Amino acid sequence: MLQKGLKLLFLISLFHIDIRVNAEEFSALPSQCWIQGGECLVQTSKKQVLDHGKSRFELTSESLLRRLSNETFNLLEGNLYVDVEGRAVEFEFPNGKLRLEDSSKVGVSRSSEGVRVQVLEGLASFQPLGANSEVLNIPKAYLYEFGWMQSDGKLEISLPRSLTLQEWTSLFYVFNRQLPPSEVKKKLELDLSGWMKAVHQASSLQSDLATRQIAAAEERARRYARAKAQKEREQRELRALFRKKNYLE
Amino acid sequence: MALCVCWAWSYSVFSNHFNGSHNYDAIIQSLKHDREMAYLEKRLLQEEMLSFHQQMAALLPGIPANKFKGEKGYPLRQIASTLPSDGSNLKERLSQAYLSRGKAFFRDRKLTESIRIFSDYIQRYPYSPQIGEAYFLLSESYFRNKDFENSTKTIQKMVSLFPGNELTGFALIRLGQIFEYERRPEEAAEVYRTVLKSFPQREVASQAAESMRHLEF
Repeated sequence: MLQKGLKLLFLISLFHIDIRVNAEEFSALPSQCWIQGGECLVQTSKKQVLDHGKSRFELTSESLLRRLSNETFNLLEGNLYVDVEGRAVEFEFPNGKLRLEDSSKVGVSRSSEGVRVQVLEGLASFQPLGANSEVLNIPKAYLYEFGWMQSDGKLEISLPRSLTLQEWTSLFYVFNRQLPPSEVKKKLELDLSGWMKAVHQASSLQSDLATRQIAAAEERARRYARAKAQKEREQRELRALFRKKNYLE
Repeated sequence: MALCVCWAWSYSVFSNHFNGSHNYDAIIQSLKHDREMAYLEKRLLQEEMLSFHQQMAALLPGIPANKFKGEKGYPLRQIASTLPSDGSNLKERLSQAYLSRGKAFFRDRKLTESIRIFSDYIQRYPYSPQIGEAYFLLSESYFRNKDFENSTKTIQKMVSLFPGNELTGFALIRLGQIFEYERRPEEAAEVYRTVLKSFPQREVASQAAESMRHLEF
């Protein structure tokens, strides 16, 4: 009797349970636009993988991606990992254009500070805003950060540097986690040599840059000392003039 | 058992239908959707604004400096003011160059020009580190131009703005001299005594003492 009563209670309670299933982990504007093609705005609440032709876009949570045309995109917020297959892909940012060539694997992040590009494989290039700006190539295992254009028309660009081992392995994991462990090991061994090469290249490049910066800083210090001495001389002259005009004439 | 289940189901459908909760659910969903749309629209507008700022930042340095001047340059100046600052001390360097121009006029005894530049400098760069010097040179320019009234006014301003500055001490000695020219020796002596009392700087004090010695009552 008690068992029957409990069953009944269970059945009654079932009718009052409000079950909600969140069917979509991302919202698209207009709805279903990602599949239909053309302009589309995608916002994610969780990690999301989107296919675009043969290319694969992986957006992390809280990211906002806009597709302007079939080859052009804009990442407004968050992080995106792009595995480009087939045609090259372009990103239009307020401070410039990023182009990812075929067969490249690139991580792109957008924040209030600017745009960060990490290349695991292939080649990316960034064309800063401005009529006479030069295209900057970002080779594999390198990281670049592009800030916003300042009022003097200059774009803040970080010193070119290779990815740290931690950065490189996280990026490697994102793009290769679907592979079976035996293949991952093989690929890791193969790709690590490419990363080490980039580290050596970047270190010699940074050493040159550091030498140049030290020389520039020394020159600035010399100019400052000259200006200071001149100012002191002017002050002395003015005071002498003042004394002369007051008491000696 | 079947009757009980039917009864429970009917009760559930009935209660849901008449308490209007499904209406609220729909309203909540609609409001959530509206909020999401509003956020996306705002975010797109922000992006457009940032792109506009970046375009302006890239274009403005190519515009000749004289286009920014005067009434006609106001729209350009307004656009420029919205752009991110370059973080450099460009303004400070400009102010120094402007002050140097004034000093050159002062040395060449082109006092009308030096007065114009020092007055303008004080208006344009009120927070400059050289502002005290600009006030001092302005008072000196007025003095040499025999405009004692404006010289006195400038010195009074220096006293209120930079009371402990060495240059204020020198300017006060000049004020004493103005009183001497105006045949007001008691007031001049009072000023020199104040300088001797209030300014510990050796040069200022020695000049104040010398002025006191030369004072003719």
